[in-house]
Amino acid sequence: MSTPQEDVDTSPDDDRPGGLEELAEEIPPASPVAPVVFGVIVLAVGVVLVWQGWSVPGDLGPRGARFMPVVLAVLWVLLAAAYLASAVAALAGRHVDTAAERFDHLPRVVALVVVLVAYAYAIEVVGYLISTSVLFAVSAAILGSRNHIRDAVIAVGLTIAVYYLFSRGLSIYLPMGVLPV
Amino acid sequence: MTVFTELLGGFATVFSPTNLLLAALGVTLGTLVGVLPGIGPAVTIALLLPVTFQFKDPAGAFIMFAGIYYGAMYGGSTTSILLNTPGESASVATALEGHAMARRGRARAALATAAIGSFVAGTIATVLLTFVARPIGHLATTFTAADYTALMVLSLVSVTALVGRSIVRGMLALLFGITLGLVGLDALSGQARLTFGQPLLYDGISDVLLIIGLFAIGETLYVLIRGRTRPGVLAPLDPPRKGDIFWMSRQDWRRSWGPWLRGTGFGFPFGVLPAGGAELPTFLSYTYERKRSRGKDEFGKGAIEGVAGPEAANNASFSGVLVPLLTLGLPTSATAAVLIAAFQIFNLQPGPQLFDKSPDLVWALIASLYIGNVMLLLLNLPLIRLWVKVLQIPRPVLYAGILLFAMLGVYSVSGNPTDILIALAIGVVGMFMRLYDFPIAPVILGAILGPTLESQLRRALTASNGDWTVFVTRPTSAIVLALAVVAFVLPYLPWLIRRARGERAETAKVTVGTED
Repeated sequence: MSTPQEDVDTSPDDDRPGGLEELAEEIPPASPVAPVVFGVIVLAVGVVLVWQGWSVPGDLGPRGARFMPVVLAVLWVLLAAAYLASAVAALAGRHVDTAAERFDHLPRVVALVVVLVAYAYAIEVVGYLISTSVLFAVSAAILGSRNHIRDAVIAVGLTIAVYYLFSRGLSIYLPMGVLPV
Repeated sequence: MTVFTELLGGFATVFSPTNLLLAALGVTLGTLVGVLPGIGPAVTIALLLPVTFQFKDPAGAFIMFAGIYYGAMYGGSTTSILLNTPGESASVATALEGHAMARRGRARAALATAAIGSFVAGTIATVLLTFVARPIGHLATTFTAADYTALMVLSLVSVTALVGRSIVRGMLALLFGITLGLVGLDALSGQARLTFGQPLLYDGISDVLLIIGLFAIGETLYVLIRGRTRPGVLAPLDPPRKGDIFWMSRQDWRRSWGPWLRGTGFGFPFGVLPAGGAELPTFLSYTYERKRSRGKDEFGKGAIEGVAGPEAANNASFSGVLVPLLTLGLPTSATAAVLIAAFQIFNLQPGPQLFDKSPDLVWALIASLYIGNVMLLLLNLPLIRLWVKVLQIPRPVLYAGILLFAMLGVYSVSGNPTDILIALAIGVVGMFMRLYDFPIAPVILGAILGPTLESQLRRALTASNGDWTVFVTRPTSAIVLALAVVAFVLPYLPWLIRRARGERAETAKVTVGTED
């Protein structure tokens, strides 16, 4: 039995991702340009939605298929314009509440997204067991883990457990791929 | 039949071995995801939906979901107290006082007053639910399509107005959700809408993809981009003291029972309102206990009343939320919205007819709440060391695990790898929404309620021959719509008053919480 003090000991050193924690503390505020860019994107999406809603065939009356998409998209454009206006006001130096946080680890996020896209393509070709084990181990590394051997062991063990529980126990289809299991 | 015989029937259903096992599984899973950061009850239920497709009896699935729903609250308080990171916004008050208590070596008392308070409040609220659900259901049978439309508008607007810091951002999130809900073939006319010509999108975007994308994937990407992958520092668990009853001294008990009952009094009515959510009652309870307390100085440094009251309010309001959910089909939190999606999967429409069409299911669900509360009380405190261990899982491993289960849940919806790409895209949007402080819950509510809102609006206008005044000529819908306007203005009221008095106001909107 361990004592309560040991129970609450913080994690071992190997889980401290290099350089990540310094950035997570007390960071300078995000650039005021970012919300403006985001606002422009949100507004552009709204314009696309107006166009998509308008191009639905049929009656524009409230009982027709076009009504809701068009009303929602017009409201969207108005609200997006309000958001953009407040972002521009913040950029101009006025005190406006546009919360924005910095992207400190964009390369890692891009790497993780790439890994997940690759997973979507690999799952049916390579099979669930291999692709999911690799996904777990690689994403743990991207998320800052340095104990790769431990991660690999957990990855394989967890994947096998999940595979048998879900495909055999709960009859959820999971592709076998290249492994002759 | 009286309420009692129906409830007894419900207990009979729950006491089958399978259902008891599912209840136990639900509360355990719920506590686990409540303790863990990054994954909550909404995602967990969404992940399990594909598994429950094959259940012969939906009652078992709902008993498990109810366990998850409740368990997550018990688990969330553990994390708030020991780690000071509230898993959900309704636990913010608990984190404030509970963590302060834990740092002063009173972690056990804080955990106990939270767990026992949750039990007391949950049980009282379930008793109230048992008795008010059917009368409200009867009342709801008189509602017309116009009334339902008004109620849905109220529910969507008030949840959006109360959650988050900005109404503009909240409303954009809500519009995003409703728009996502419209993607696919229109149920009435069969027209493809917002599909960009992709037949893949004709069936619409599955609620499961949306929830997993926004919550599990979005949260993981957000944590990564912000570099928050280090576990926090846990407060130590103090050794048990002699003479304590369930980890609390006589004085703790004396100081806790009042806040428990008052917290229940705050929580349940707020939950029942179709504008619910647990944030407001927990903050009201906290503020009230602080005002009422003689030892005001202790607040902020670990006052047990500040844990007991809000935790009870939190649990009571969660039971209250089930009243509009079961009787009107109106969800007022992300988790409740997922439960609506679950009902729809089993071809059940929550609403006044539910009590007549599937009484066995409803009463089994209500009975399982009583059982679940008892199980959680037994599970929570004795297993505290296990939950402490769970909190020590290294964050990279934890989030890699969340991704693994998220992918599993997404893939198991239809076995189509393209779904993974859609969920990932939604996850990226979820990350940006978090970065720019857009609330997530309105998206889920909008996507799940949106299609129902549209069909009720169409029915109302068909019945009135396209006359919009139908929404203001009936007293019910007129009052409900007026309430929606009030909900919209209310958070700005203190600011307006200060402006009227000519004072400068720091922030425009009153904020009561952020997520879920």
